[in-house]
Amino acid sequence: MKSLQTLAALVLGLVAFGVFNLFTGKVLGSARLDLTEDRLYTLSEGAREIAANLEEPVDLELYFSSELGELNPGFRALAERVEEILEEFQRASEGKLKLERIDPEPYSEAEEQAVASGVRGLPISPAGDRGYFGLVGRNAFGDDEVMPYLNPGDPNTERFLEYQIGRMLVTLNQAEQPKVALLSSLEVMGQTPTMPGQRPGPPWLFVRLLQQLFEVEQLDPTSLSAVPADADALILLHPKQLDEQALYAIDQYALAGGPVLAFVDPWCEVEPTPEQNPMMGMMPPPSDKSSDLAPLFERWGLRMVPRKIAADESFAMRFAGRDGRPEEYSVIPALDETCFDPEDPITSNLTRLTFAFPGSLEIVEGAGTTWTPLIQTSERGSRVDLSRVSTNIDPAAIAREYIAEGQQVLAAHLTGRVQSAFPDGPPQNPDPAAVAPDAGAHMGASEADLRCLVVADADFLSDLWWTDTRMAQVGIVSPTADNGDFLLNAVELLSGDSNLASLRARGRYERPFKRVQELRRMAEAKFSDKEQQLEAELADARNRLNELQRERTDSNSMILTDEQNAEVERFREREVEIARELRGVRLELNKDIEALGTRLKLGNVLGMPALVALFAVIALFVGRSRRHA
Amino acid sequence: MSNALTIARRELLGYFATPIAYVFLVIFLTLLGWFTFYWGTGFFEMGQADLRGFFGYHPILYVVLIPALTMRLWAEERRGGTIELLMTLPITTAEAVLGKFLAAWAFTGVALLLTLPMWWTVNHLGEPDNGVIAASYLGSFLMAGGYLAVGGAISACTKNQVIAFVLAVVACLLLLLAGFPQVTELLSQSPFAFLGKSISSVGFLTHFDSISRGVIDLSSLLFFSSLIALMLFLNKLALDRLAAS
Repeated sequence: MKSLQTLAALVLGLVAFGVFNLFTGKVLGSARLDLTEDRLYTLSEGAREIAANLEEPVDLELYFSSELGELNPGFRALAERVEEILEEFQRASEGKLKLERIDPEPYSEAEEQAVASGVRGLPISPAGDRGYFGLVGRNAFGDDEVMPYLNPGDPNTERFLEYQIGRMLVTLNQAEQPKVALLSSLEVMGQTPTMPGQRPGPPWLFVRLLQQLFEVEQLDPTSLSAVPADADALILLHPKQLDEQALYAIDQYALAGGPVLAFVDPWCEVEPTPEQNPMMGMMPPPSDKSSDLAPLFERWGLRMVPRKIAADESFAMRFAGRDGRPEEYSVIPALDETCFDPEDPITSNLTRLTFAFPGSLEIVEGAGTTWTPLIQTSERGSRVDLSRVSTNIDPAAIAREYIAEGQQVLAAHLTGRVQSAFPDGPPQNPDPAAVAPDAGAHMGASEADLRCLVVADADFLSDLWWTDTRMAQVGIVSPTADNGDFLLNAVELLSGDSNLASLRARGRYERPFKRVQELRRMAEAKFSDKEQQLEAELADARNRLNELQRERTDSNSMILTDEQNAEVERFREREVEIARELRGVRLELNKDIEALGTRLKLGNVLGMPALVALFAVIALFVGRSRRHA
Repeated sequence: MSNALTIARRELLGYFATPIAYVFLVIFLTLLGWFTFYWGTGFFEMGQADLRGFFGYHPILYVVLIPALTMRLWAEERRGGTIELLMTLPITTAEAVLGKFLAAWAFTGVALLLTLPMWWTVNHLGEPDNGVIAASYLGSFLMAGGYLAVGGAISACTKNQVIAFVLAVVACLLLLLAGFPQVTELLSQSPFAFLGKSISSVGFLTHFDSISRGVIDLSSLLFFSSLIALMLFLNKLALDRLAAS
């Protein structure tokens, strides 16, 4: 009898346990405490705002083939995460967001729908069945946006989920195509014909790309009195010597929170030089190919270092020199993703951006803005004087005199509240007959947060520097770098909901050992000078050897004099010696780091156990002596 | 309840009066340290300021070491006949069970505390997400509690410590593996497919992984609590049966 009672109690216990957990799983599924530093698993404030601000209902269809989940746990984990985030968006949307989960079985209607909506299928069986993992959003106007393929293998997918979904919602929430105002001193809309009968040139590629997504209105820099109020973003490309009226217009637009994307430049290579008058016969003075917005930048907490070109010898592009041999131009750097902010949606997926004679940006303290560098050179960046590129550029000389000065900032975000650059109101209109601008009341300070992105290179958007222009005559332009994508991402981000800008990548997937990096930097600084010295000596020794060889062939004798032989020997020995010294320097670099590693390992693996053992000996000894006492 | 605490305190102090506790601690800490720094790509070589590697070894170490703690919890008393003595004291079986369990759990807590130099190390080297680390410690502590409860219940069922040890290892291993993808896949092919979700939700690893992301699901907390409650209940049942015979 007792056994039966025990058995019954056992079964009851197990059942109660099972039921309890099923119950809590269902009911309390979402109750959780997010202890992560970046609150990774909680929807950010900006995302919740976007969902709450939806004006019309939006339907979301999440297509996920269960076969994908069975095949690969990575897919299942990502799918769960996506569902989690979508449910949170839904909760924040106050009913305006509807979420439907669809498992598109092969040959089903659901699969047809998925394909029709643009979701990309992955082959998952030898029979050719496809698995789907994508998201489609539809709004009340019949527009749809699609994320065709969510890839669990890409660590950026999960980090940018919130941003991607937020952007989808923002786009679906817009009733019409956003408008971008473009102001440039360069002929970006196409070269005006110089000869009668000539057709105007095509607009630059970036303009054509913009026009696919936005309505582009060109502003005339010489007669600008106010930026159109309905412009969702303002692009300034090489704003050269703008008059007070134009600066005021930009100032007011920025104070109202209008997003400004400014491309300034200390040396814009593609700015056309004024026609040389053949009658003059004199060399024209070196032209000023710069542009700047100094009066505004000052207020916004930034400045472009005047008359300096930012260079990076680690990313120098190569071009054929006069003698056909490739020369490295550190002032024309092609930067890779190590130079971009990996957390910013603008640059997170870019791999290559080319710059031509860019400037260097610096923060100006005291303006009260937050500056976030977006693109920087490597540690071996430098500031080259403008004179080295404005007249007869000599890349070899620049390389020889190059001194690494540390990272140079080529692009940065500015946010915050600022003061107007025109504290006393709008500037006097020089043309009294002109109609007063319908710009509204003067703003003395920011009415909304400043949203500004400054890039210190106007050549950045020129077809010459980021596309392969060889086929341009027949209209085929192929990008060789991601400059166009950079612009589109930037405009999309800045012109979209301001909440979007706050949805940067969630979570840092890289948390390197800062201490080790510091040690490495210190060691490198200590030894790089020595290394450079040794390398220079090595180069000299090698040159001298080559010279000697040449002398021999020059003088047409097969035999070297004893003297020459001795010299050759000496230089060979020196070469070996120097190579050995260099290796020694390299080893030294790593010594400190290894020492740190060993200390930590021993401390952790043996330290604590040793302490415990010691404590044990003491405790037991004391215990034993106490017992004997 | 206070009786349980008294028993707990007495038991805990008892641990440190014999070499067993120290041996356990030394082995636990050394193994954990060795695995973290020398197994595969060591912690230092990885260069990432997070303790995921470190915590990843907790579940498997527990499976092997915690049964070593629990095997003597009740089996020894049964063999030595001290259970009868225990029963004559003015305490209920439940209090005894709870007391011993709390002592063992506190002891594991001490073992975890002794790994704090690891936390200091990772902060010294870089900028880890300390919220995630705190959550991981909590998860590890809860998981240890779960294993202890299971081991304790098993220990109450046999006189033989070795049997108690082996059975506990098997049970803990099963609980650990229940959430593994290979297991769920296997299950989905078998006639037991309908149990799939429930079985994987019993998996310790699933819950521990989720907690060590830095998110503490209420359902996970309740899972561990209810499991511990269930096991302590079964533990009591076993002892009652013993007392009755």
